[in-house]
Amino acid sequence: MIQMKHLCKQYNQGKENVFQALKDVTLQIAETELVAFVGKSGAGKSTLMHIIACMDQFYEGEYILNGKSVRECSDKEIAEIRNAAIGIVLQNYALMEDCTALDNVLLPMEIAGKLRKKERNIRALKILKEVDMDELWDHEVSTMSGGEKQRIAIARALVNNPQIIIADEPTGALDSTNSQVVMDLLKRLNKRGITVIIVTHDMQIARQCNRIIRMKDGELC
Amino acid sequence: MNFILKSGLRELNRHQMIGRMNLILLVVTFVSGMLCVSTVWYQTRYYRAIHKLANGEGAFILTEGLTCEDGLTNMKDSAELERILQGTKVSSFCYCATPYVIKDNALDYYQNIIYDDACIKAFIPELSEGKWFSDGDVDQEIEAVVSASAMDIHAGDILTVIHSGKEVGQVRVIGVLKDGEAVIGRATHYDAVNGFSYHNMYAEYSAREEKPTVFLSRSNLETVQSRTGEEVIESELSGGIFVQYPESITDAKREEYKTYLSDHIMAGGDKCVEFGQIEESGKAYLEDVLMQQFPVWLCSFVVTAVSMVCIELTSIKASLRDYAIYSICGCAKKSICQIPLAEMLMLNIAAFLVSIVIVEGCSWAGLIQHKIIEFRVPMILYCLAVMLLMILLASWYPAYLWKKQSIKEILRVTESGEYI
Repeated sequence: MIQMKHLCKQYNQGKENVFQALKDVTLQIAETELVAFVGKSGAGKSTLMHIIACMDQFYEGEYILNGKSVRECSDKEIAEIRNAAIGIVLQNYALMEDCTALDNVLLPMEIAGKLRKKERNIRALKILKEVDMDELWDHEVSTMSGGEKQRIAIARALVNNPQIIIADEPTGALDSTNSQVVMDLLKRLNKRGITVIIVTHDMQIARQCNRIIRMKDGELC
Repeated sequence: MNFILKSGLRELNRHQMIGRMNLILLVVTFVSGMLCVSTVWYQTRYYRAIHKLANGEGAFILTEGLTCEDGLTNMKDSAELERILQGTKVSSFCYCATPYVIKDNALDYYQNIIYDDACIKAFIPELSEGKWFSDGDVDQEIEAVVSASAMDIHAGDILTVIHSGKEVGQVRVIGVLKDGEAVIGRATHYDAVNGFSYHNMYAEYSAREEKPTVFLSRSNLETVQSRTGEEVIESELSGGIFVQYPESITDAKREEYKTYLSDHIMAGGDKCVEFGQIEESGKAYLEDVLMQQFPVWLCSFVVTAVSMVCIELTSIKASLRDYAIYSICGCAKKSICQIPLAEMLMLNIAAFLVSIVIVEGCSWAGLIQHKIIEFRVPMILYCLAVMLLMILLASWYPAYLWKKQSIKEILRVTESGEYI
């Protein structure tokens, strides 16, 4: 499903403070895997995650997603991949705080523009129920706890039936109880057949995954 | 497209205070510009009409009458003067008073202005009903256009001309001027300092006036009167006369014509002015009008543009964060760049609509002269140009920043409180 060949990424290219974030990373991730990338801060986990999530196109090497080279895709095609094939969950949730839970979850479907309003609402409420957030559908996100926000973020990532969920430090801002709730949710999604990739520095979280990939100084260990 | 418009609306909704400030600034710019464009458009309309009549070399005479060679009688019409001043082209608007009975009112004298064909074609005023004089000979009846007045005359009404207690003819009203409309005629105001200009040849007619002024076509009048053999309306060559000299006129002939005209104008208060002087004074007057309006508009435009850009910059961080979220959810970069454009477009359209309401409301309440606000091509082009400029000014920076930075960087900066 995901193939990376000789991936390299540099920051501040051509400047004095050039930094090699990724060095010749080659790996494959199959469908339905539950993978954790672990490593200390600065290991290159988030950089790699951003490339996998098609949020960063400035790298060397090859990234093949579902048999197609991402580099050859247009900006529009890459956006469609992020909309339909990949769901992204970030540490700071990246939600619209002044909107309701429902509005946040509706967002990817509104961008896709394929379903009618009524169908979108039904689907969004169904997804909120899956993450146990249906009762708070009309509450503003700013009024919610960290755990609730993360569940909304997961619901938003799920709403267009992606094949892959990528979560960058999903439990980074949560306490242990909420961390486990989020982890349980991600494991449940993986059991349904969704490939889940988690970036974390927390070994307790990593050990709950089927495969752990360690990173150090931009390389796979 | 739906998502872009919805996001634009969401951004407007989110920054309501900023939106209101921008709206007020835009409304001020639109309203001041509308007044400026309308005023200038109207003035150039008046200028263009007189320019058609006072084109090339010639003289304009404002007179109570031109005496014939015998010194006892006055000239009747433009053709008579053309016969004397060979090669010239003469057009006029002449004054006279005629006793009419209008509707059921008592017999009274009403002011007439009789136009030569050139004057009729040069300026077509705006009418509240009916039509202006048409081309071609109308020989069935005498037609008139009347000014708005308190007498409530309508197109189709009949004015009966009575002389010595006897009905001598009828005039059919074919049109009624709009309230406050200005037409060529009754040139009485004369600025001795700046000279005679095109705007001195127009007079406004208000619906508050007790009696209307009756406008007639000389060619129609003569055609009908020669067919019936009855002189229904008596008139002479008195009022405003445009004498256009032939192109090949020599200096000697020019002097001869000037002297002739000066010698034959009746009253001491009459004027004889060269076309060149009218043109110069006209351009100076137009410039004055523009200079009165333009600085106000320019100030409001510059203040609005600068303020809008500054205001947008203050709200940019929140907007960029939203764009990053849209991008994570699969919105293409190009589409995201259209969101600030959509936001500005909606704001500008709202400001335009509010401006129209304000301007029309003020016109209706009599706070500004109604005749100076007309939504024609120049006005619409002006509003579109302002909208385009404001949209581009206020939305280029968010689009520029968005393209320059990655999603990751934007989220990091906006959530850390750093300055972009």
